[in-house]
This record gives sequence, C-alpha cells and structure tokens, in this order.
Amino acid sequence: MNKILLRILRLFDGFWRRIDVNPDHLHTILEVKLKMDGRRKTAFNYQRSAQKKEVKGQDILVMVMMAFMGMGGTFILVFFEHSSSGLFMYLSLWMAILALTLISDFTDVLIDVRDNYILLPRPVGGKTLAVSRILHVLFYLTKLVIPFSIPGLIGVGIKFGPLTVLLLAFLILMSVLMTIFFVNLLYLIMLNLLSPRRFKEIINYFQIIFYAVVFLGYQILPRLIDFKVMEGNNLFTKIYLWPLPSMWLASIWDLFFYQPAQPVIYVMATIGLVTPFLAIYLVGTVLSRNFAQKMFSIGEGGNGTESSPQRKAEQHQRAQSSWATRSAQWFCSNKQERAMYELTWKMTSRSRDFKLKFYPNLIMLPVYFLLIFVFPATRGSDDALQEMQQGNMYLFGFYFSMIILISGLSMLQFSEKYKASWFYRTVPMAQPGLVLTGSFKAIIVKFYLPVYGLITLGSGLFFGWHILDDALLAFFGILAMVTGVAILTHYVLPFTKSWDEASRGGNIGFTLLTLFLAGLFGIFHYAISSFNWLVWGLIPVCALLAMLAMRQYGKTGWRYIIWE
Amino acid sequence: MEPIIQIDNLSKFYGKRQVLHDISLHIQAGQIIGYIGPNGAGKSTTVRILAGLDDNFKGNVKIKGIDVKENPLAVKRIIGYIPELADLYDVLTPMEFLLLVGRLHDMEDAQIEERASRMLDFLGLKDQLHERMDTFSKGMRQKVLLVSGLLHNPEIIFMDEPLSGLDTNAVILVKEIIIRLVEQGKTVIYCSHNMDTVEKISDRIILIAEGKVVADGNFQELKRNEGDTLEKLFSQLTGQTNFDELAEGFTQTFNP
Repeated sequence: MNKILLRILRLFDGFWRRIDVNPDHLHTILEVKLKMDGRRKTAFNYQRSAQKKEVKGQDILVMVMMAFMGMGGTFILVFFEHSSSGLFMYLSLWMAILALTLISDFTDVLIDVRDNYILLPRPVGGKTLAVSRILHVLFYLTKLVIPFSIPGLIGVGIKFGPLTVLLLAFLILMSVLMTIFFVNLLYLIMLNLLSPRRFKEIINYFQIIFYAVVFLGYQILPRLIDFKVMEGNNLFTKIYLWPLPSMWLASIWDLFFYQPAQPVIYVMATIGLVTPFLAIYLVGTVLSRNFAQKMFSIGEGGNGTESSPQRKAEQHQRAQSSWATRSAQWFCSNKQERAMYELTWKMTSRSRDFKLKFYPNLIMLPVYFLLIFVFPATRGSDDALQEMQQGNMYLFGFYFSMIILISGLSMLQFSEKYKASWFYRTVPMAQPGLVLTGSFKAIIVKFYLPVYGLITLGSGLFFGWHILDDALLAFFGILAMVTGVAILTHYVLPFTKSWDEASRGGNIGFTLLTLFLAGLFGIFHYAISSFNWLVWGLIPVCALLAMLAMRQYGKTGWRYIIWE
Repeated sequence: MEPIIQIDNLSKFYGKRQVLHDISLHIQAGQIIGYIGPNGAGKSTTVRILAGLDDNFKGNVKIKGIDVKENPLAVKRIIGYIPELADLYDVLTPMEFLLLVGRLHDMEDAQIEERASRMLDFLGLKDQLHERMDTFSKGMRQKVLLVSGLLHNPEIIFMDEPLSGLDTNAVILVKEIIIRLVEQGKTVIYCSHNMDTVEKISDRIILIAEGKVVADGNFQELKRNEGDTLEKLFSQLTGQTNFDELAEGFTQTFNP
C-alpha cells in the first residue's frame, strides 16, 4: 500500500515543484515515515510487534482488520429494515473506530518531535516539511478509510443502486472531517486541562480501550447481534440519539429515502452538512495554531501545567500515606518486601507496556466469562436465568478470575526498562524471595482482590449469600495453588526481562501447571460444594497452606534466581 | 597494613575469550584509584567482579578481608557502585527510586528521605525530587545514580564513568565530592576515559590493556618525560600513536 501511495505521489512531481515543494525530499521523508508507521506498536499489531525483528505486512494487517470491521458495519447497514437507522449504526461504528484509532494509534506520531532534530538541521524547505506532515496524516487516513468503506459501498450499491454509492462515499468523507474535528477538539481540551504527562497517560488508557474494542469487535459482537432489533426499528424516533453527529449525517440519507420527512430531520441534515465544513474552517484557523504548539510541548516533555516542587513534595507526602504504602505495612513482613510491594504497585500503574498488556485482561475476563459460561446457558429458554440461580455457576467465575493472578505474575518480570534491574545485584539482599513475595502480594492486593471482591459481590447478589463459603474456599485454594506452583517454577525477579522475551512465551510452565492444578482443585470444590460443613472446614486449611506457601516462597535464595 | 582491596590472579572468560589475564592488585584504603584503559580492556568487568555483581571468575578477590565469591552480601553492604549507563526505572521519581535502593540496604525511610533530599539538593535536583525521571536529561539521571551509590555511606566506592553526561559545573562538583569522600577515609575506584580528571585526582593510576595491567603507580612515577600528560602516556602504553596518519586518512575520504 505504501508503495502505491508513494507512486501516486510521484505523479504530482510537477505540481509539487510549482508550489515550491521539493518532490525528492517529500518522497524520502514520507517513505521513511510510512516505514516507521509499519514498525510502530499499534492495537492491531501489538503482540506481533513485541518481537524485535521486523514483521512484514503490518499495513496489510491493519487494512484487513479495518475491512473486517467494515464488513461488520455493512452487515448492519444492509440488513436493517429502516436503512437510515442502519446507516446511523454504520456511521457510529465507523466514527468511533476512527476516533479511537486516531487517539490511540496516531497520537504517537503527532507528538513525535524527532522531525525537529532530524529534519530541521537539514536543508529541507519549510513548505516541504508542512506538506509532508499533511500528506502523512492523509495517507494514514486513506489506509483506514478505503478498507473500511469498500464493503459498505459494495453493499449499498447492490441493495440500493449505484447512486447511493456516491451518497455513502460523500457521507463517509463528511464523517472523517467531523471525526478529525472532534478528536482535535478533545486533544485541545485535554491539553488545556491536563499536564503533558497526564495527557500521555490518558492516551495510554485510550489505547487500552481500543485494544479491548478491537478484541471485542471480532470475538464478541457477531455473537451479540440481535436480529429482532433490525426488524422495522426506527432509531430516528429516539430523541436521545439526536445529538450524535452520526445521526445528523444519517439524516441526509433519510431525506433521500423517506419522504415526507419530519422538520427535525431537515434540521439535523442541515447541521450534518454544515458542521464538517465549519469543522475544516475551525481546524485550519483557530485549533491548529494552538494545537501544534501544545503538541510540541508534549513531545518535548515540557512542563505545561506541571505542579510546583512544593506541591510535588506535598503530593509525595500524601503518597507516603497512600493506600499502596499503608497496605504494604499490613501485608509485608519486612522492609525489603515492602519496598518491592510499593515498587510493583507504582510500576504497574505507570509502565505503559504493562498497562497495555495486562489491563485488557481486566476487561476481557468478564467478557470471556459471559461468552463461555453465561450465554450458552441462557439461550433457548426463557426462565434460564432462574434455573441458573439454582445452580453453582458462580464457581466458574471464582476460578476463572485466577487468570488475573497468573497473567499479572507472569507479566511482572517484564519491563521496557529491564536494564535498570542492575540495582538488584548491588544491594545486600540475603533473600531475593522477599522481592518475589513483595511483588506477588502487590498483584494480589492491587488487582486480584478487587476483581475477586466484585465477582463475589455479583455472585452474592445474584445467587444469594450462601455462596460466601465457596468464595472463601476458592480464594484461599487459588492462592495456595498459585503460590505453590510459583515456588516450583517462578524465580524471575520483577522488571528484569525485556518484553521481547514475553513474545517468546514467558513462563509457560508456570501458567500451564497452575491452570492444571487449579482446574483439578476446582473440580474437587465443585464436587464437595453441597457439603457446607466440609467447605467451611477446608477454608482455614487452605488459608494456612497459602500462608505457608507464601512464607516458603519468600525464602527463595539467590541460587534459584533466573537472570537470563 | 592489610589492603582494603586484594586481587590475586584474577582471570575472566567470556566463553573462550579471556578478557582478564591473571591480574593481581593490592589497594590501600583512603585512596583514589584511577582505573583506566581503552574500550574493551576489561575495566568494567573488573569493577563488576569487585562489586560482587559477577562471581564467574578465577582467582581470589577480597574486599576488606571478605571473599567476594563466598560472601557477596557482606561486600555489598560496604561498597557503593555507580554503573556506567544511567539505566533507571524512569517512571519512578528520584525519591521513589532512592527509597527503594535505601530500603534494600536496610536503611530507615526517614534517614533515606533526609539524606537523599540533601544530597540531591547539593547536586541541583531539589526541584526534581518528586518528578518522574522519564523527562530527565542524561546528566540528571547520572546525578540520581551517583546518589544511589552513596546513599548508604559505603566505605569503598566503585565509579564507572561517573561524570558521563554531566555539565562542566557538575563535573567540578563531583570531582570535589570524590576528593572529600577520600579525605573522610573512603576508597574510590574511578574508571574513566577522561584522562585529565584521572591525572588530577588520582593517588594511583592503574592502566589495563587487553585484560593485563600495563602500568601501575602515581602519575609522577609513570610519566617518562617532564611535560608528559596522562593522555600521551595512555596512547604510548596502549600502542596507538599514529593519530596524524589516521586523521589525514579520514579527511582524505572526501577525495575520490
């Protein structure tokens, strides 16, 4: 795709020269930028790009994913009985995907100020630089718009005739302009309200959300589509949808298909026609000036609205009495374990790669649970939910949550700054096991306990509070099991390995053995769950085992620690 | 008097490649030792062994009478190590990083905070104490590294290129700090490519090349002629003196 775009660019060499842009420079700059885009970590290629070696066909992957989403949208567009409502859904999906992609994926490109160090000292003209930036964004958008829109254009062409292809193309173009405007506006608001670092963190959360959306898009949505909604449902009657830009654009389509139209449709269609052009004007005049300046300060790591040293000192004081510090005192037995507990707490909150890899698990866990256990059980029968309430499906939820613990512990060893782990070797630590237990406890308290608590709460509300004994037994059983397996297989200190190694499998032995043993224990638990006295009796046994296992894990000596 | 650092017949292999050849050195307390050599000579490897970071070597190494191989933890309690590269978990603030290192040295939080604040204040990082290090320059990170190596008040300090990335004022300050530390009775092993600094502050200079000690003594003893500099001596002893020829060759590459 890049080659095609660059060849098209070459066709306009004469034009570039006329407007004082050096076509050779333009070609060279864009060639490198597009190459770098292909090697960037995105939500689409995140797992693959964790490997250091160059992965070919990144662009193709992104385009295939967009085409796939486009097909999903087309399905709704074509099969919705009220076509304007279908188009509203289609454009909403498209605008959401485009906005999330722009924010999560392209922000890295926008805040990349290497141009200033690499290109500015070279004899490259200002106009060439400006045009290269605009074309870079346009190329990026082209690679998203074309694959997404082609299935839709074909679909409407077949169903509604060739003229509607032109209308849909026009509406998609309008939606692109509007999305750019809203993203631009969102950036400016965030840049004005937040410090550069906070801005980057928020972008990071968008990336996590997008990663989950991509996952949901191709795993879950097809199973959730309810054909009944598509039958004769007119979404234009729902007033709460009127403020949505996709509704304004769909109103233009509605005017062509459904006459006589309500006055509100005319109003929305007019807004839909005017807003994109107003947006171009605002982006080009008011917003872009501040935008470039603010973005530059982000890339430079500028202070922007950073707080003063005194305020930071106060924040530090507050942090010292934070939940992390206080809980470290409750759960950790000594200074070294506490130090690692707090380090793990902070690093897992701030490490971009950890968040991007681990946090989607928190979103996917309930989704998978619903998909695997709940949906199949509730289909086909109207009183399936009532039937479910009589059973003990909550046990699956308890044991399923173990994934959080396993993945958290497995990912803990990796860091983008793994070389900073030199300090472990310089400190006089007799028991590196305390490093392992300190970080393990942080994962339990920070991630596992809240998730498990929510599952227990949900189960208690749905199934009744008789589930409490099972919740406690599963909790301590899982802890004992995971810690026991960690004693046998998990000897890597936290944040000491590169993420590249994660892509080569990480600690598969630990994961498989834990899943196997916990699975066996889960089956045993399922079998005895009707004997309440036995369940209650086993709770202190498992709690004691978990405590002893943790103590033993803390005694791990240096000779067991794996560095390479 | 028993040497504070005693190295006897130290050899180190990376696979089949021998990087240290039978090195023997005895170092007395209260000195600045300039440990110099060309790239790849084995300086950092020696320092890593002395600091107890690498126990895969042949020979005997004792720090204050403690065998490094047998009791690396006891050694780590009395030494400070400042590595060459400023690799840090930069999502942490200097104070958070120093709290971590200090706690692992079994120091009390109050003492770590008080000492770290004062040290960083003197190094001009007072305002950045609670700022995350991902926006820090190389010099600022180097200062944090320096404090991390000194925080627990070690008796012996290993510094691998400690002036890397520092500005001129900071270089002067750190040189003065090193001199004062030695006046307090500490021993500093100082690895650097900056010959001028080594010449000026070292009580003893040890030059290694290809894993062997090729010169050992104070600068006055080592220099062959009046007016010699350590830089000149370094080039002579490491066998590279044809700089004119090389520079000429390089600049001639513009001509076809």
